Amino acid sequence: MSLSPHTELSQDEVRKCQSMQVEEWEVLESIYPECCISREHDQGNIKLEIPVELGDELTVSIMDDGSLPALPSLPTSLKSGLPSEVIERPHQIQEHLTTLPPLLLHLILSPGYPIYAPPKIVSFQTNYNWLPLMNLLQEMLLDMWSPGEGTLYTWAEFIRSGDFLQPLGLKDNDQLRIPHPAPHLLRRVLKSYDENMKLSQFSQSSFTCSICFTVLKGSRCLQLACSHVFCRTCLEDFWGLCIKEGDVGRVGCPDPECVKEHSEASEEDVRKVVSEDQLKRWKWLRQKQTLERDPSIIHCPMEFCQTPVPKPAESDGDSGWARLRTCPSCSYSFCAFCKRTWHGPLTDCPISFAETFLIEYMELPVDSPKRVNIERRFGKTNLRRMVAKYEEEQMNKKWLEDSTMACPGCRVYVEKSLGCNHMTCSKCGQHFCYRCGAKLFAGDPYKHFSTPGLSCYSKLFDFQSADDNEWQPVEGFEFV
Amino acid sequence: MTSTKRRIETDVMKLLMSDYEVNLVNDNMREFYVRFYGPVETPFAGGVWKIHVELQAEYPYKSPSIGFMNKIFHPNIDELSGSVCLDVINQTWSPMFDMINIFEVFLPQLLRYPNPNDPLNGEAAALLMRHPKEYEAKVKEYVQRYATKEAADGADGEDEDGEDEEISDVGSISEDGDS
Repeated sequence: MSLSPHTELSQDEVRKCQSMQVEEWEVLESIYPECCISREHDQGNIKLEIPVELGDELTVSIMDDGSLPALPSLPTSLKSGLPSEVIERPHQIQEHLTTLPPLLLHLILSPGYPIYAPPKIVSFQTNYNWLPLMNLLQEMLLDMWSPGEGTLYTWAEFIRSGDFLQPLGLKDNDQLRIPHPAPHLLRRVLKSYDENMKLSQFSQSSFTCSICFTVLKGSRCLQLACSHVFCRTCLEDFWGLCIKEGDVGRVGCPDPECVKEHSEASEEDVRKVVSEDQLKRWKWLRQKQTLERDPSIIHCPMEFCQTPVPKPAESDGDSGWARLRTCPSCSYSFCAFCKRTWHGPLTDCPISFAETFLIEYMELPVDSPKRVNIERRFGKTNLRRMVAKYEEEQMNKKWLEDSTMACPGCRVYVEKSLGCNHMTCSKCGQHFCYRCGAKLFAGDPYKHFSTPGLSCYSKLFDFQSADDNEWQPVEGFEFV
Repeated sequence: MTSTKRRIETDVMKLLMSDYEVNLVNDNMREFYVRFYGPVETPFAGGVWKIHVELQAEYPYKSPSIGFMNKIFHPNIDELSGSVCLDVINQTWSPMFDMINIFEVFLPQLLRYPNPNDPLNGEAAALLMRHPKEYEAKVKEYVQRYATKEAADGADGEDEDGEDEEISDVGSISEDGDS
């Protein structure tokens, strides 16, 4: 029933076609108002902008079509400024999308459309040139016209639903493959468009806030990562209260299921809801919470500083260097064990600290959380070595206390194997009593043992049994 | 009208229009008493308690304060003050919960499934863990003595019997004896 180009139409036929065109345009405009850009009645000019809706999220693979030559090997100085995907030129990039940028269709409806002639496609293009095979699609659209029937709605629906992708060979098994000269650039554009579309759809929809039960437009609501939607006012009140009271663990989705799972809000969401001061406090409280959970973090011992100092990542748990901490704020270097100025990897901590610390550690039950925390902080090997050393020192100390006497002049320990209790230190020359450790007068050292009333009176010699002393008489030697 | 005020009004109206008997204190929607019945098929069945509810200014972002006015023998309810130790009312409270949730879900669940590992009433917890039958008997005894309709109506937080009854010691529970 289509006419040859030279056939003239009667006035009635033109009028009939025109009324059908108007009717079709009105229907199209009522169904897809966002797609209908403009219509010039006298020239039959029509412009349509039809977005492609993929329905549920679809995996879109953007493949390098190889039309661009590979980049020459760039000098390192230039490489540093470029994103890795530009340098590496990946063959394929995947993204999950729900919408694709619109197809722009400029048509002229001839006087004989829709009864005698199809629409004439003046131009057909896509935003960002994401779609290949445009000519093939154009042919497919023209083939869809049959005389006497309006085709605009069919075209719009065919494009909007994404049904055209399969016949073009771009879609199969819920995956879309788009060849493109610069996949990394197209990916950014498609992702950005998809996010903007989601946002605008969300803003125009209405939602009931489950806290205040008010029905509000999406523009006054916030959809959290878990997909629950609440009005911004309620979230502001709730999160603001939690931040004010320091309960940052509750700054998250108010839905009972999410509360049970302790799902916390992202910084991006919190920033959208609370004031700058509250955001600052929230970040500080979260950091504080994280630090308190990490037993390897120690606060700088400088009173004016108190900055949390983490354990160095590359620290060797088995060496003395594992104890070194340097404050990132005031640069003070200190020992993680005794919190005093760094005394080097070999020098031991002052004994007063080490002793109290180790006694406390050793008294803790093997699997107690406190003990595990200490082990995480200082390293198990380090602690084992310290405990062994401490135990050895304690045994030495006990032996020194039981079997030796320190010179009161230079504190050198002296062990007496036999003889009298008057000792002369070979190191400093000090005379002293081996029994009580008192200094003796060099001119008359024995006065100490011969003065009645003194604790060592007549105790110049300590007589012990041979068994006690584990000493056996030399052969031929007899006691009188 | 702020969202908090609107929520308080909505929730209290919902409670007033339900089957629960609610008495507002001085016509104030922030403080009221609710008559609560022990859930069936539990030792608390047949008991009637007067429950004091106070909604803080920050409700629903903060949980309501709940207290039993007449005595109840339960591991997670303090015998003297009537305070309730319930995680959904304390730790895991959500602003989406309302008063109906408390009386239709949380409190019946608490009475049905006590948690003796986190007790406010040590004696009840010990009895439930060691001698469940004795626990049940004591619950029923308390229901008969303190959870009658009259006791609930007269409850004002004082000891209903007027007796200076000493709280029995957990240590007094016999170790032997089957239950």
